[in-house]
Amino acid sequence: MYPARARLHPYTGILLAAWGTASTYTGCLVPSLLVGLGLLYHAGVLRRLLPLYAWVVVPVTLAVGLGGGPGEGLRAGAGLLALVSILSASMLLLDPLEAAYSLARLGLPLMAGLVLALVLRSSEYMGYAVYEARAGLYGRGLRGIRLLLSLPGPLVVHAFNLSSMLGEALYFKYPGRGRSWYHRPRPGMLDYLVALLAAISSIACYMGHFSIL
Amino acid sequence: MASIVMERVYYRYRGQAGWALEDVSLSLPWGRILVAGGTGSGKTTLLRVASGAAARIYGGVVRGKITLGGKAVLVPQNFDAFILMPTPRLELIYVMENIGFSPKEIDERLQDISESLGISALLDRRVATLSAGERQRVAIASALAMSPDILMLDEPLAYVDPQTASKVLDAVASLGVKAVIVAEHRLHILRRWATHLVYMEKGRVKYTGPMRKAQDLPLSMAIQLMDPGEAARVAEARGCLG
Amino acid sequence: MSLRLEDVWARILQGVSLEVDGGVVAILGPNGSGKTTLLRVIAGLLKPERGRVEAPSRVGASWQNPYFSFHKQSVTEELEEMVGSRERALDVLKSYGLGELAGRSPFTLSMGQARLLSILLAALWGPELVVVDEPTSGLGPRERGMVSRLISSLTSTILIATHDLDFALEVSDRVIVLDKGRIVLDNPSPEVFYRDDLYKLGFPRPLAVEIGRAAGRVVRSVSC
Repeated sequence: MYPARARLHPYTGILLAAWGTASTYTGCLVPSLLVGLGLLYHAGVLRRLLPLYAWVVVPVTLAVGLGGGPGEGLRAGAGLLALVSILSASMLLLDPLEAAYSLARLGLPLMAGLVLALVLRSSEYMGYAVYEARAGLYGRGLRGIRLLLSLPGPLVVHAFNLSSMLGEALYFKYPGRGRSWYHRPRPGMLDYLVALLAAISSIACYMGHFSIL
Repeated sequence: MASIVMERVYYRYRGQAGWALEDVSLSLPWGRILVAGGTGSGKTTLLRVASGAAARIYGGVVRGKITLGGKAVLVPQNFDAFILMPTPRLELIYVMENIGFSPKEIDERLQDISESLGISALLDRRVATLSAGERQRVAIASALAMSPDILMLDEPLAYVDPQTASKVLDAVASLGVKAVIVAEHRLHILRRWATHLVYMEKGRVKYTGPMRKAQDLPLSMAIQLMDPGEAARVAEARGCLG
Repeated sequence: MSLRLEDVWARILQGVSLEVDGGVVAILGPNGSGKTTLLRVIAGLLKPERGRVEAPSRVGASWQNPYFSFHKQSVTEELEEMVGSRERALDVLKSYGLGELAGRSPFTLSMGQARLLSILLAALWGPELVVVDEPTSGLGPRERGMVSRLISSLTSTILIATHDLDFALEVSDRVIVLDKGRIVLDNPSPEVFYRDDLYKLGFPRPLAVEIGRAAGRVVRSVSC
């Protein structure tokens, strides 16, 4: 299934995102950092995501570090890393169709549950567009900063066209009332493990361990 | 009994002055149908209007009467945007859930469809990592999973080589679709495949009828339907060989 | 201009060696044979994992989706960026019979018009070599004719990746066939189209070849 190696129950995913955000904001960084990175490693996507995270985390660390000293900078960088890793873990480790089922059970409209799947697919499709636009502009001699400045043009048009093409697909594929559900999510070992780790580390944080602050 | 009947159908896109389809009347049989014509001839619009997608997505005005003999699904020329889920397996499950198939039926159909189209090994790959030919087969599999009676393919040969396309078309026929309608302008590649031809020019239907009896086509089209000997004689006489 | 590839491995490519010193070269092959990957390597967008590439420093490229080559408000502005002045841009448009497109946004062009413009943009900034990926996909007969005339009018060396044998026969001087990442055939065109070994990969014979065989001579194009 998707992702291939690991999967969280949708409710675990939602609670994990909430817990990770809360504990990061309260300064209890180490547990959410470990759980987030650990889950991504388990899913086999950590190595692909790290360079992406570096783009977000390194500039913030440097900027805050220059203003408020190295300690402040590192704290800000670590907090940001904890947040992005726990949020992407709680999203990427869901099966989009299970998530749709769980959200529908909570009373949300069917389309709302499918947004996760559509976002995953569209963002990959946009990734393809970035590559193609870069190739297209490179092929007419644009290089470096001129190429970067020209990129938004074709990409905005592509995103606009994409919405009407999605409309065409959804005309045939709109989720209706007569829908069945192929799999209903059941909590597994990974869910219990994540819950246990979150509980233990929250107590430890409460008692004053782990906290950077 | 016909797959699609159109009576005096007109269609105009929103914000456009002219008709994109003008006075189209036709009755298509069940079977293999080729819709031919150059760019701007209205091939794509014909499929959009016949499937019911045009007015709902692009707005505009539809006039006339359209009767479908069964459920129709259109795979657009840009098949990438037709795939909504991140993996082929999720895509097929998703569309079958929409129809209300039971988990057992979904398992069986998933296997049948992916085997016929040769995508069994790709089911858990991310769609973004597949080649154009593979993605096109996933898009067609997704349309087939909706169990259409009428399958419409808009220029399926545009991004795929003819040999892959003909394998796909054979597979489609084996999966219980009763009418397959393909828009394509290179007649000679599909002349043995199709049984029925619709030829369009500037939004109007110039010929609709059996492939073998096609007449009143411009010479550039007609020559593609002749046997090579006759085509050579005609082309030589008109001086169109380079 | 000289292009030399020696034992190049990249993604699907498995040891491609190739030398091109001019003309219009068609690279044929079924889907997934490595045509696009080969062009990406030659255009400098993809580093090979192994092997040597000696390519000109200026390589123009027009890829499968021509709309990704555009970024300006109008067709004239796009060309102006390539040729320097507005007057010259308009001259170029007129000489290819595209004068009426001058004020249009490039993103509203038809597939055929967009293809012509993207090939022009790839060719007009002074590259020694131009690569064109699937130039005929989504084009009608009239537009195919225009693309083939445009390609024949260019003076630089041109590499075309395509699975459209009719088109390759019409425009190419040399044919290279790729299958599963290897070169399996490399011959001058049009002779190779009249030999049986080209069709082993399952391609249907081009209309011109079927007619040519019936007429008993080499025919490259049929335009009635």
